[in-house]
Amino acid sequence: MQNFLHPDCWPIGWAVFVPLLIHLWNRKEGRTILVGSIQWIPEQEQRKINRIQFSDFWRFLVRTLMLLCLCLLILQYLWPNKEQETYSNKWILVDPQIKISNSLQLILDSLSKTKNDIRYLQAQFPKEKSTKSLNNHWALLQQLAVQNDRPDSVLIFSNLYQKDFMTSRPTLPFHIAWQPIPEEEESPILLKAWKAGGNRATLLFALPSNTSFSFVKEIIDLQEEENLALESPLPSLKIQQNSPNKWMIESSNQQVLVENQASVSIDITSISKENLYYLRSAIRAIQEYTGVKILEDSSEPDFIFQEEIAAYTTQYFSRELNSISILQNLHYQEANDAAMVQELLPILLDSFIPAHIKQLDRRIMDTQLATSSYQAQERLSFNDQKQASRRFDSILWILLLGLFLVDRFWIGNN
Amino acid sequence: MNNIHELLLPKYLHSVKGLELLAKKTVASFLPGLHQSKRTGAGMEFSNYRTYQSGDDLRMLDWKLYARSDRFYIREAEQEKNIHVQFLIDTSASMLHEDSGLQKIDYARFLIATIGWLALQQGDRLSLQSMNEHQITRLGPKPGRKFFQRLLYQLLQLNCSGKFPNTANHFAPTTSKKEKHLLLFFTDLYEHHDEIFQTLKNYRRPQQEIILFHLMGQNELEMSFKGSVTLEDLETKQRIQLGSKEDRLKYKELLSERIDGLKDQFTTMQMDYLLVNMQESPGSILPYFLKKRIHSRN
Repeated sequence: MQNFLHPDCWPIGWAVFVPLLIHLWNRKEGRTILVGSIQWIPEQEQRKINRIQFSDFWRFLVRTLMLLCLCLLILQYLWPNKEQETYSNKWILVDPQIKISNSLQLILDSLSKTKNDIRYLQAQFPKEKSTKSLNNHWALLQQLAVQNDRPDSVLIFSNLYQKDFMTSRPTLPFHIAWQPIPEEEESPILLKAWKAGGNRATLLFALPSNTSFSFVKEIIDLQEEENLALESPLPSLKIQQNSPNKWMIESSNQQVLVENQASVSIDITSISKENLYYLRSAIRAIQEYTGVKILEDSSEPDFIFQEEIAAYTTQYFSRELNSISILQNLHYQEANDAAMVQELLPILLDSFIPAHIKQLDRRIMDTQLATSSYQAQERLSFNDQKQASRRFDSILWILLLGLFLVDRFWIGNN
Repeated sequence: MNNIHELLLPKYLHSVKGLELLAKKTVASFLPGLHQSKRTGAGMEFSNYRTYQSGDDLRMLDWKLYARSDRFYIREAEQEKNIHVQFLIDTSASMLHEDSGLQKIDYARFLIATIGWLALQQGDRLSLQSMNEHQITRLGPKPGRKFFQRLLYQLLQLNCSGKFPNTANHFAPTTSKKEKHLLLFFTDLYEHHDEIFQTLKNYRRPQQEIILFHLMGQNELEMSFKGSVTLEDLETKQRIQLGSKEDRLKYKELLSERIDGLKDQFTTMQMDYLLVNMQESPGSILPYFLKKRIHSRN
């Protein structure tokens, strides 16, 4: 639904203001009729006619309505989807494992003021955090589904990696939206390290947030048992050589082995032929710039390139792929949409998180869960919204035509 | 109109059939109302007989003819009947104002032709005078059918332009003071410096009766022009925009006051005033006018 205070809607204000100005200053003479004499129209009345006056109100009203219809058609005004207004009983479920920062607390406080029921995603869904917790959140939601006082819409503040949503997603009778919260804001994660020639290594850090993933590359000199302090926000590192060819880099309780050669596999099978040439050129440039081999492998890709949705947003590659996206209209969206996070998260993390980190119980959601019936429902509702807007467009066109006929044939003759 | 016969429309002539164009002032005095002539008997030239009508002077009843025919007849003397009917027509540009497809000048032509035909039937002498600042025409006075046809032809040739002439001296009356005279003035009374009233004052004579036909279009009276219009004065070429309903209401108020003032003014000047709405056909105006005159005489 359009917010009429939004600058995009300012043309509607002009649609009223400009015709008003024109109408007031209109010097249109209309038909000229020869009459015997105008002498009996007193002089003061003639002066009055020359002044600005607001006359012909109905014609002004009709023309303003016509311009208003045109503006609404141009702005593609969407009629509010009634389905969105039917959620009267909304619950907010907070994962007890997430750290509630000050900003998050402010959000929860404001939500509680709007008569939303805030509870914890635990057994019995208490309003206060309890010590008992059930790690299978799908099971919890299934319990919620059979309660008498169940909501018809749920907003879940959960862990960024959605790790407690285990097994397959059940069918639930309420609408679910997710708001992922990072465990620690701007807490970098050491993902990969590989030799960059000589005694140097390239490190790849991930900086997750609730809106996007950023990747930072650092090149360091490998020193035996040396502690390095990197520039913020990157953490300190401890480098240890276990063997002549093996180096261990430790950061924030994460350990990464330095590999001899790094390579990244990408899946570009869904790219059209027209864009494939340019994309491969960009990838070659990236390889030369980063020293990382990028291989086309659709079986276990690190990156999946799609023309509708870019697979990631990264600081590491952003310059090159942003260029590609701009040149080749590869759209990418910031992951500020809960649904988008669900789709991208498993793809990215599955490729970047090494196996030993996965063992730290950073559970990855099954990719299939990202395309749940919820998504289909949302798409369907979006289609309904589109259909509603199309119907509204038809009404606007009919109204515009009717107003034109009224202005032309009825008001013009009166 | 190119043909004089187009002026004599049967429907208009039929509407005045059986009526008479009576001159109210057929006597020496200038008092309003009908006064009988004191001159009777020998010395008055016989003109013709006509049937007796209620109100006729019984002294003019021909008893011998009554004895012979058992019917009453009035003996008409030529002096009583013979009047000069003068048509004075305003041919300023404002007479080109059009209403319902008919211009004021054309409307006046129909009225003059029909009244002239009636006067012709009565044996009256006719004359025609038109005036605007560019041209003044005079024709007559003469009786007879041939002259009437000339008069109709002259009527067709009239052109409207300019304003009503400002100089009253141009319009010295062409009739003698003793002659019984009926002046019919066809105008829309649009003047700039009181020139029409000055002209009428010049035409006032003891033996003369003046009737003024004030021609106005329905759209002039009601200001019924639809939509936002610009009015252009036919004489001065000034333009004015007329839009709101308030302007129209105000105009109608002023016009109504103006017309009331004119009626009072003409009454003071002892002239008959008739407001002619061009929306009405000449065939309905003339009978009304003539019957009103007969009624007032009686």
